[in-house]
Amino acid sequence: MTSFRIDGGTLIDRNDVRRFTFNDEALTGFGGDTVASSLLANGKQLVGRSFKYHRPRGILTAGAAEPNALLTIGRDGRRGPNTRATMAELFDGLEARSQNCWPNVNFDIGAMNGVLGPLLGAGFYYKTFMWPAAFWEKVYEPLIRKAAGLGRASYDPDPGYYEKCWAHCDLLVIGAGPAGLAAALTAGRAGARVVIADEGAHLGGGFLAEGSPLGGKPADAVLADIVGELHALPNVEIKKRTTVFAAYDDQVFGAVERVQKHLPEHEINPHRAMERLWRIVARKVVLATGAEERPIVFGGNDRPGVMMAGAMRTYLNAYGVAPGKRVALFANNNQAYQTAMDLEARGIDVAAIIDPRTCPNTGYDGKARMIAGAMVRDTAGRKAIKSITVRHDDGRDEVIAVDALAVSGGYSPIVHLACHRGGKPVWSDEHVGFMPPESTDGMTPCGAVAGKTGIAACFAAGGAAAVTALAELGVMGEAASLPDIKQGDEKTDHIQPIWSVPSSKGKAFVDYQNDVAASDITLAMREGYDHVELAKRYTTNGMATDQGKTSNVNAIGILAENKGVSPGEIGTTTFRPFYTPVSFGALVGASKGMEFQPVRKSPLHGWAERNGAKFVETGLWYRSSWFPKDGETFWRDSVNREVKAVRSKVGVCDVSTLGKIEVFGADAAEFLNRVYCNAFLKLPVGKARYGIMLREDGFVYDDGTTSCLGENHYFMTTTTALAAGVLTHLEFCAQVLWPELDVRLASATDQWAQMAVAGPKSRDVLAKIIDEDISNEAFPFLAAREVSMFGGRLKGRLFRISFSGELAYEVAVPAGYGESVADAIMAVGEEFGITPYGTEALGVMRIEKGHVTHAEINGTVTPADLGMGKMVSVKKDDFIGRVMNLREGLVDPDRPSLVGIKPKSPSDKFATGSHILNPGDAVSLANDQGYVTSMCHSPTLGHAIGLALVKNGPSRHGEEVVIWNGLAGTTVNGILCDPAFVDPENEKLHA
Amino acid sequence: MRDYPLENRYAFPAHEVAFNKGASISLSPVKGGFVVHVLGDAKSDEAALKQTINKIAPELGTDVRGHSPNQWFWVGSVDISNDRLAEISAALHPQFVMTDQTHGRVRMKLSGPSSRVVLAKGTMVDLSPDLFAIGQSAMTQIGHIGAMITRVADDSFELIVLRSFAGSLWDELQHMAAEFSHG
Repeated sequence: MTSFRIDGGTLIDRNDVRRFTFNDEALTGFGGDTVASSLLANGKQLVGRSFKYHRPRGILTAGAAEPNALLTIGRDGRRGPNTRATMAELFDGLEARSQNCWPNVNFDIGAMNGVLGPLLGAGFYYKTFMWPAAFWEKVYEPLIRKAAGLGRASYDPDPGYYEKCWAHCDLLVIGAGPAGLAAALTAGRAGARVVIADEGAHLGGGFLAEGSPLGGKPADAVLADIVGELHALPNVEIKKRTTVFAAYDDQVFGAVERVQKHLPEHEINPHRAMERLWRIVARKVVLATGAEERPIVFGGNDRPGVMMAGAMRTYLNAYGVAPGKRVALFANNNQAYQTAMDLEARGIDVAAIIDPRTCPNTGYDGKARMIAGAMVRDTAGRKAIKSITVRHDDGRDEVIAVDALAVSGGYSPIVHLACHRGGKPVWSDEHVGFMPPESTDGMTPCGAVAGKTGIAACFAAGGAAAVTALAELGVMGEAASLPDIKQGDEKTDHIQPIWSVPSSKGKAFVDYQNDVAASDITLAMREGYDHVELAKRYTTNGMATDQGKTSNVNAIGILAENKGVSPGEIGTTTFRPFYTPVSFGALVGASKGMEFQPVRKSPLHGWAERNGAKFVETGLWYRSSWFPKDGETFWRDSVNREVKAVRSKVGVCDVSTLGKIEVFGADAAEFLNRVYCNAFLKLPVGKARYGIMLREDGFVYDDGTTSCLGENHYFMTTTTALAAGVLTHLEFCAQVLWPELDVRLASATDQWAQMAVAGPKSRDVLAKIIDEDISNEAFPFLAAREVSMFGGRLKGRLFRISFSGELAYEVAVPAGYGESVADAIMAVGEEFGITPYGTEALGVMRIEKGHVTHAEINGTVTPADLGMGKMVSVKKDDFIGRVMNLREGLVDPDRPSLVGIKPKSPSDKFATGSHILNPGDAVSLANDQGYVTSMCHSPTLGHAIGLALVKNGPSRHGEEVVIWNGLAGTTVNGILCDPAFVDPENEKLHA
Repeated sequence: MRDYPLENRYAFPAHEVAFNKGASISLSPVKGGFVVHVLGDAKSDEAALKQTINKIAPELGTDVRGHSPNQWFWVGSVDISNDRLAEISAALHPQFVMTDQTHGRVRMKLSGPSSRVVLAKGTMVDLSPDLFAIGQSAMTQIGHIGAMITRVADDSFELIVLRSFAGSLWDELQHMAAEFSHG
């Protein structure tokens, strides 16, 4: 194999030899190399196969826009598909593989597609897979899906740690080329907080490709001085390997930093992020993103060895890699001639310069043969370019042998970030490109993105942009300048647009990544898809990982040329984040596995764990759902035991997760009276009341108890699910609806450990730890007050309320004491047979009692639907939901209303969600009478029971119905009944 | 059983994080003391609250941290009895009402030269020394968890978090700090 490594290369360290494999072949490169530069140095021009036609493809660029050289790098969980070889830094032990080829990149069966090329044009799927219709789902789609996609993701978990981070600055400089460096230096010297971010491993941009001295000093030495000064400024934060991928509102920018992706496995610090997702908040922004060199669309322009002229210069000067031994240049602008000069300066034969301009005034005085007024129309070579065919202005063809071709079709400013917030780029005939929008909202484009060319001009523009931005912040700055270089010495350039070479022979590619040829664009136009957005979608031009960085403007140009209008009239497609692909790892950050979301733990979590609880996630909370004992292998064994224990003896349950809100203020009673549909104005101190809150539309929002603990002090409980929602609702009412009321609200959910102590022996248990008289007379049903406990050592709150339907209390103590108090209750309750019970048993008991939860309060029910219509006050002047609750449809007696339901045969079971039908009716939702909202096995009754919302339910107790499970396709005969299966007279509550 | 031993348990999984010696970060719970949620009326401000506190309980200090408009967390390092709290509550009335949140809002301290970088992984608040002075507070989120950050010294921040989230935030901060924890 021939080595293409030559002398020089400002970025590589020849003493640092790095071994790597490419398609299992052992190769070497140097520290500082990219995978692309090291492959080129090893003579690897063929690196992958194209998506559709599996054509051989090489390395086109030296940066982020690379459409061809997408490799899979790494192994197992660290395997990264679609990694741009031009961006990936070489490390020792790196493993790289070509994609989209089988069995290998040199011999790829998929290349057969190339033979079918004429059949596979734009819209191929739409036109071909029309019939038979049944084939689409079973044959066509699976086949297309198998063929689709680039690279394959790893199925192994990524062992790397990822994270997110915020940064703040006065000035964000995006891009560290000459313009960006000047801006950062200017602002840094002025004392502003600066963040400068660049996607590359090295700061420098255009400096890195520069082979000529600047002001008599090597370009890399000039660059080193600038970077050195920036590093020394404490107010400048330098972010290398950081791609700013999105501009969001309020000057927030998304960026991804590849922190350790460039390191070999043994150097990776497991405690550091592999990648870090930044959200950068900037007061002002200097956009110095540069310009992308455009390919030219001509026959065979995708053959390995065809490369952007600027990229070739970078490989030559920064990496010491020769693109070939005999190179031609095909360019329509003067800037690209620098590549020819640099090649010649390094002793590489430049076979010819083909320029479509008839009299280019380039100032080029090198040895290469100039062919003006000509274009390359074809290339030859099987897996790498061997020759080009040049069409002269007199119509004559000439074949020139080359092993590399540099191409430059002009420069497209990288305007993406300037357009993410909705701005549209503006066409410039002068620059032959789309320029940033006129209004960029705090963002100043400068340098190549603003149409400047040359290091000196860009540097000057960057400094000036920073001065302007700083002035808007009230900071005086002086533009940094390059020593001994004439600032503003911008070479005049005349670019002659060529969107595609008319005499092209063979496929002339516009979009390399999607295999879109010029003929596809014109086909789309002929078929009516001539709008730029339609053409994109019809042809796929500009899609996939590179989002058309090298293809979009050429496609627009072809559309414009064929319609006879300016590219400005065609316009661009919409620019949206992300600028380049961002890994899922970075987007997910640390939120994976058990850290996917925060965990909320009750103050009694430890107590429940010690008692063997099985936990269930309810929202973020972990709640104890049942407490299995030895020998219980099925959850319902435990639940049945717990229910029976509570019904016959006593149990204790953690209810700390219920929302708790302290309500204060001289108008607190009036406030509650307005937010609840039932009366609260006269709730006496020391009493609790069950309340129902309606939404404005008259449906039930939430329920719970509110206790009056003192004059102007109430304690509200909400359901666990709506704790935050209810507080927000109350704050809205207090701040917006009735600001005249003196009411103040504070969340107290976490302050209290709250336990339900339920069962006929509950009073006996609590009497042993509560210092006060809690007899039925002294502390009747719905009593609520602060109590002294443990001989005055603790103050708690005691509520005589019951969700289970038993004689029951809820006791609240300061959270830190929760576990001790729960332990004490278990200890004193031992003689009464106390058992801890979980939310499953709680759920069973509330169904047995006919109490509702959000299974019934499902957003479609009124209080009357739940059998609580009488609670809705008719005396109060107003409350939330009053008027809408009176709507005709909401008072219809035929509405589905709460009813109990049980199987006709006790051995039958049914499922929640089943529908209720009248006997004899056809099994169809057309005959729907309602549905089961909750069901359980009642250990108290020994059979299944449920709650249901059934048309006119309360008047149908005793009626036989059919319970239809549509999913399982089963029916069971059932009987509607009173929803209170246990203690309908409420005797236990008042015991 | 009225003499049953009562223990006030901390919400954090450990008393401190065992970072290596020389680490540029430390994380520990703040033990003891009080957190009182004070709610003012529409006209009340922080100066009035501090003035009132100085009048009724000067021994407890005036470390008040803005929670939301007209609401503050009043924080101190000594333990207060229920009776004393009741007295203070009565004395604050009617301009201010208060509710004890000592158990519901727990405190931890993150200190060290890397503390700002660690917190930047969670919060969007700019904590740079010249913008976020000692004594300044911000109610924010650290990751997905609501928390109040207060700068208590040069490189030291106190975090107040709902007790139920304390373990989760503790774990998250450990992950965030891990790269600085090895001296």
